[in-house]
Amino acid sequence: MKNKREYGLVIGVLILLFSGMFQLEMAGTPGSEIEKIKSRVSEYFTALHNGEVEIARELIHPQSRKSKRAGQLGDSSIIAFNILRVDIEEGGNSAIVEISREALGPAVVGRITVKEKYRWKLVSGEWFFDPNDTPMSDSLIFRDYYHKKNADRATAKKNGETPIPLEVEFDKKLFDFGIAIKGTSLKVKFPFDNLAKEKIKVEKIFFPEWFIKDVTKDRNLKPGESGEILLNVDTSKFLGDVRQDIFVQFEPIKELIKLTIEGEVYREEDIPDSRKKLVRKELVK
Amino acid sequence: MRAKAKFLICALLTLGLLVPVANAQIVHTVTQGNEEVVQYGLNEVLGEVRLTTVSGTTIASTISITYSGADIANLPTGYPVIAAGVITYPNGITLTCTGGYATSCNNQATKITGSNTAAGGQIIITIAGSLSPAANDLLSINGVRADVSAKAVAATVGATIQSTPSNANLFNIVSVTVATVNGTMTATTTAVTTKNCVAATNPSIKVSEGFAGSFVEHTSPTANARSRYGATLDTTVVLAVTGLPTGVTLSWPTTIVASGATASGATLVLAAGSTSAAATYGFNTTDQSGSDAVQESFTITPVVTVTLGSAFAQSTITADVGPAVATTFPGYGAPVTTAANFINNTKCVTYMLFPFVTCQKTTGFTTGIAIANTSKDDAAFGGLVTSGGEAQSGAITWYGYPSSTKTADGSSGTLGTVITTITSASLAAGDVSSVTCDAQTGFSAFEGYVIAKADFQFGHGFAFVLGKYNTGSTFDVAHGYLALVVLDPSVTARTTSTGGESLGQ
Repeated sequence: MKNKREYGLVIGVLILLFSGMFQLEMAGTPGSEIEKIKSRVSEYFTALHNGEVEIARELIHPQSRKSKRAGQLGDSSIIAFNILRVDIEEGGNSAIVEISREALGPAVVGRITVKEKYRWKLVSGEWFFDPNDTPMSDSLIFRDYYHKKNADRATAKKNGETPIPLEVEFDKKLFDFGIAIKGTSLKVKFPFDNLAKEKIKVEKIFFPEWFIKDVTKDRNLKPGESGEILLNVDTSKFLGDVRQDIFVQFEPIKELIKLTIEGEVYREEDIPDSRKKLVRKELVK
Repeated sequence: MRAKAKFLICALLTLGLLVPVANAQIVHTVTQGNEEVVQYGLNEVLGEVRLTTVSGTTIASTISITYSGADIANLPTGYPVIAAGVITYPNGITLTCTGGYATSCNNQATKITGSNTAAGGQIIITIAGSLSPAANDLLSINGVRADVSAKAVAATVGATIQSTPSNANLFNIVSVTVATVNGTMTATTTAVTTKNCVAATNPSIKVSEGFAGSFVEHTSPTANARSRYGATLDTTVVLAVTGLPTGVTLSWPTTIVASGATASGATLVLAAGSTSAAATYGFNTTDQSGSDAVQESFTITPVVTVTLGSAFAQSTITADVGPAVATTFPGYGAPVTTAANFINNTKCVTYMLFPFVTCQKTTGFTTGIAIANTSKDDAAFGGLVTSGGEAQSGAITWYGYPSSTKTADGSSGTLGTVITTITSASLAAGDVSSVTCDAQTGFSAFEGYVIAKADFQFGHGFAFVLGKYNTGSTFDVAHGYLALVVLDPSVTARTTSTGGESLGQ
């Protein structure tokens, strides 16, 4: 009888752990919030894809449901989507969801992959899409932070005016790795100084993920501090000349800086002795 | 009185002894040859040292000739050949004795020995006593070889002449210059860039003597051979190509005639055993004196063959004078030329021009770009042999040139810098890459033209500009165009009349 009571207690505890209590604990972690958001995002786009506009509308932020933008969401020829990234914003009440959508384009190009960002907000414990508060897309970041800012700076300089000061200074913007032996992974480093009077953050680095990996350690810098962008470059897929631009986004100063990696990749047996000195062994990871 | 007598006796004795000594002293006039020697030479022939008799009678003595700072490479050892006053040692040094010295040399009462000392190589002439050479009879030393490999161009080798005992021989001068170092050889290279898909152009290397007498043929010149002084070999030119990529071969010409401006009948002849990456040429001449009168140069142009599957690399060439040995004569030490670029084998590429590409600069408008690698054509054209092609794969890199915001009169505003990104690491033959431009690194909000470089031949491109014109639509504006194939400027320069802008498309 005593044993039965003990077994009962153990089973009860286990039930509690694997039901409500456990779930409550997990709900507080960012990982589970991200899964919840992903689930809601999937629900939303699946409803759109199925033409279930009313179901989709239920997933829109209550204050934005009647807006014009919410009404446009049903007109889509989306055939597939993929959630690329979910970033919970500071405070935990909103998140930026980056998705790629496959749409049917006219004629030859056929399926078009379009990357988009949306903001989802937490209301009474549930996540809702807010079409009236869209985050900056990559194209807007490039347009405002890079193309426009650089053009303005160049124009000011041309007109003899003081250009908008650059608040991040890189030692050099071109990293020439010389000659690399095909198959090696290279450590690429771009040191820089924070010239701003405020804290800055390396918000995002834009690079092709299939051969470059971001291993930057410190992303937050106080005024006057120095930092470095650290990347690993996989040379296994190349032969010959390699040249690739990467872009570093700094916030809140709204800067997007272009850096370039270049060099040559050869099989070890094809590198002449006279050029072997150009193989920088210290870069090999 | 007794002291006076002693003084008188001493004086008489002294005079009696000195008179015969003064009669036995030989007075020599020293002359020499200042020979041009080859830099990096390990055993160069130094100039002749001549001791010409002015007057006197010999007493048994030695005369040492010290070659300052230059070790003798062919010290006189072994049994010499003696003929008519000329003693020739096996290693090439000769002592020539004329007139009153000849008989003494023939029976080796007058002879030479040699050694290397801290001060330099030394030749010691042993002179028999009681010889009475006539005026202009001479003793001369020839064929001394010395290592000058550590000396720079224009450095000299001096010889110091001393007598033991010192009063046995008098010299008008005791220090002479017997050699001046001159340049060995120079080489200038005309490098080329080859491509794995087109007939290669040939590089060349021009080698020139450092001075007229630098190159020598000892073994079988037709006329006017130089004295060998122990030499058994001819000058060679050694070419070494480093880093020749797999699939690139060189065929070296067998005979090179000296360049027109310095024609002397001399040739360089390819030695047996030469390979694609290592060629050795021997110097041949019909008249060594004639060759020594002109500074010869030779332009060597190998024929390059490149296979489509060749590797890509920069190769370099060195040119050295040889043989690189110290034990046989002549011989050379340090390298003559540093490595110079020779052949840079690169990929065949296709450049495709997309004159207008917009990538979400205006929200909702983007461009799809498709690039086909049509180098796989065997089925369509009936096989690789008939089509002349071969499947190639390679990366695709975009170079985007952003357009400026125009001023009110339509003039260009400030231009942005080129944006470069790799859109494919390797596109196989027979495949098509199709991407939207705003998804490529750095191309968000880009608008301008793009030159795509595909690392394969027969690439063709198609662009499709898409846009959301009507509110709420996905895409309702679309227009496509073919990319223009720009001829590879490294094969056909864009500046030529038939160059890259004669697209013919």
